[in-house]
Amino acid sequence: MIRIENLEKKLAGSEVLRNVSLQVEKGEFVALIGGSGSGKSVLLKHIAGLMQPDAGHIWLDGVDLCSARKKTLEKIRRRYGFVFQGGALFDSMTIYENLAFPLEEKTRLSEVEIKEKIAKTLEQVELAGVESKYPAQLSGGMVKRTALARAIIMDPEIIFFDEPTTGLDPIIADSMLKLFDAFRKRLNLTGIIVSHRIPQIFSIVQKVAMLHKGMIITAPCENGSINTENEIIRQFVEGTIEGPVQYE
Amino acid sequence: MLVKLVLWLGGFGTHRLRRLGRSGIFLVESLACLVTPPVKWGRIVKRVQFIGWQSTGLICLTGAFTGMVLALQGYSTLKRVGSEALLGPLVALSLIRELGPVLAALLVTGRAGSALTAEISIMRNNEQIDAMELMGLNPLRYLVLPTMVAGVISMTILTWIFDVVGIFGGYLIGVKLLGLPTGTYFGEISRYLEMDDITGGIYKSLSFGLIMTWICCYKGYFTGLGAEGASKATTQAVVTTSVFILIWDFFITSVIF
Repeated sequence: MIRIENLEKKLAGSEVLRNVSLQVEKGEFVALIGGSGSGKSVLLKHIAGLMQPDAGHIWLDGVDLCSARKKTLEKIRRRYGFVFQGGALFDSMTIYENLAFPLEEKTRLSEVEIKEKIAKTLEQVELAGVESKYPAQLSGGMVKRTALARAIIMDPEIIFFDEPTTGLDPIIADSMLKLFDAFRKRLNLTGIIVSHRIPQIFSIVQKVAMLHKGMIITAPCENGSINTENEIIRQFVEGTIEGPVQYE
Repeated sequence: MLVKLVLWLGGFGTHRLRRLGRSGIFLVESLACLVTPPVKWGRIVKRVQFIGWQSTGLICLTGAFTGMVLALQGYSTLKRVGSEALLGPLVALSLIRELGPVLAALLVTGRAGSALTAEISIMRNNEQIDAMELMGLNPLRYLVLPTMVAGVISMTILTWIFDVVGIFGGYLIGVKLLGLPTGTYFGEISRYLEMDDITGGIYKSLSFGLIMTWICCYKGYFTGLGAEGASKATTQAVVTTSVFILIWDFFITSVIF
């Protein structure tokens, strides 16, 4: 479904992505891990079409996103849902308006249908009754849930999570991961999740892709544990200073 | 040494040229949304409320005092040459042709332009603009074009208000304080004021409205990272807009008057 080939990107003179290749099959959920500043969010933004690479290709069902026209890209983006690290909710709008915005602009649903859909979606993310609140009035966990609600309200096929549990306490973070997993299964979503919740993240993904020095190392995931002999991944997952990589 | 200097100058020039090109494309792409519906009229009204309505008090206050000081200075100058009767035209023409559009533009830039840059910068840094793009919505259509249209409308109306209040301020000083007859003040204004003066002032305020919103939106849209980036963008927006308005004022004055 998503195929990344030899992606390269330099930012402010430093090589962030170097010959990155990755494949995500339909229905597959991939955890993108790596050290802070390793380029995980940059890679995610490339796949979402928010950034253009210096070289390489990103294919989605045979369409090259890197050379796609604006209209094609707009159509493709309608298949996406994206949960940003900070939620990226429009803070001048209420929660209802945040969720209604894409529906009003991109669908032909009536006001009543929009209202029903929002109520149903908020109930699914356990946030019923917050419609009239503003994002600043919500807790961190509630903001992430609202961001998830906004990401799925347009019924996407592919979903991206950019560190969705950052800043949450461990219990809420785990409950969020379970919520994502429930949605993934229910809606049969394909997706990539950038996360530092190791090893908890392994229980909801089928594959782990680690970004290290601008390159990708992948490993399969089964029954909540990672299945690899790669020493770089093992060192990172185990969180040890001693190993093939010298962390400063 | 010389080679290094040439390289540096070349790099600097290319960088500036690239940014100039990007800002031009930004303007053209934003204005193109005006001819490709839907135009977001509701958002335009909201922006007019912010840029225009909320600046009215400031414009009235500064307009009144500008007119008053013009009358005070003008009266003493005109008295030396025995032409006090021309105080009305002096105040009105100075305001309508020059001071009204320029001062209103500079004041609105300080009040609303800086806030627009800060708002868009924060939206960029909080990934709200990215979120909009991922919804398949063009941020230029939803964010920038309504601001530009509202800026042009608001600036024109605010300039009229500035002019009218300023002329009234001049009347208070010239007639009520210095004893000029009311008929002389307004009669001479109607005698010397021409339609070209008014349309010239309108052209200026229209272009200043576009310049202000263009630069302020552009600086916010392509802001640097974090709080430092946003504050830098806001300062640059106000300074660049103010300088550009004064330069543009010279060129437009030399063409239309």
